[in-house]
Amino acid sequence: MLHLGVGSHDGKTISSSTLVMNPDKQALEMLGQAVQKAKAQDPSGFDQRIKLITSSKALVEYLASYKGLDRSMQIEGLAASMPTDALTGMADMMDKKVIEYKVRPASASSNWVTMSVKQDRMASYSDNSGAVTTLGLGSLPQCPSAWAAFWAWFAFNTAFCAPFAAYPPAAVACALGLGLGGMIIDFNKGC
Amino acid sequence: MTKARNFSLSLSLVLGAGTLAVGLVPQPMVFLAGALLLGLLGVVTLRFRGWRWVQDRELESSHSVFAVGCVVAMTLASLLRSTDWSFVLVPVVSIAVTTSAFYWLDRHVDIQDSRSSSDP
Repeated sequence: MLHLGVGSHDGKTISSSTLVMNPDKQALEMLGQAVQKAKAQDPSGFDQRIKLITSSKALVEYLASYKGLDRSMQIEGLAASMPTDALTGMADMMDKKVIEYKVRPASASSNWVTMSVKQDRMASYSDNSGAVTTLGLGSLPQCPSAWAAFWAWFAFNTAFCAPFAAYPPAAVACALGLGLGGMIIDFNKGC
Repeated sequence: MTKARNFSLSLSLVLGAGTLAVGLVPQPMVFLAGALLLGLLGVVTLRFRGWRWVQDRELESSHSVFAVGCVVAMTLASLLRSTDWSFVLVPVVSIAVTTSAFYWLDRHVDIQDSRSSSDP
């Protein structure tokens, strides 16, 4: 693997180009062993990472842009070589075009891979502490358990306020009161 | 404007303002704004003291539409809160809620003077 360098063309994008050699027979054998080992160690985590990769359009396109490589081997190799959290972040950033990869053939057995990072998108993607945020999705539930908590809260509100229907001012007061009360609940705490 | 329509408009405006507050006002000011709106609602209710709400009898099967609508409006506003488009979407929701509430109340709910109606 040959690293070419880092550059900024417009002040908003940082790009880095790398010459990546296609794996030879020995490297493929080692990769196969690594895949088997990862599968044996954590089968469910491995399956989760496979699903994560195949459901990310940007990741699949990126892997497909390498010519002459077996697609399933690439996917399994990536799933075996990255932890789930890191892969989740990578897929998310690629899907949101914070990071973009472009692959162009250099020779029959190598490719130039250019990684571009959009600085403005990166700034809105991570807050000052470096913790990943949701690109301004705010208080929207961000995982299945958060949505479950949200729907439970909504069902409670409805059940609580519906009896006030006979007297509309009380229904408004009930909805407003519970709407304000809902703000102190962090649905995403369990994510 | 009739008394019933006047009350419906006041109630709809308070509901719309509540949606705006829940969707846009930052914490902790939102709690102050909410308290003020609840106070305003109390003032509006007191202004029509002695009047009782009479719902359209045809709506008996769906009499909770208004209450559920209020809950949906507040929930939607709190979901849209802090999104990139909240400054556009929340006012749109608020206007839609105010208009819909007024239309629904005006069409299906009336108020009657409880003192005069109780007289023989």
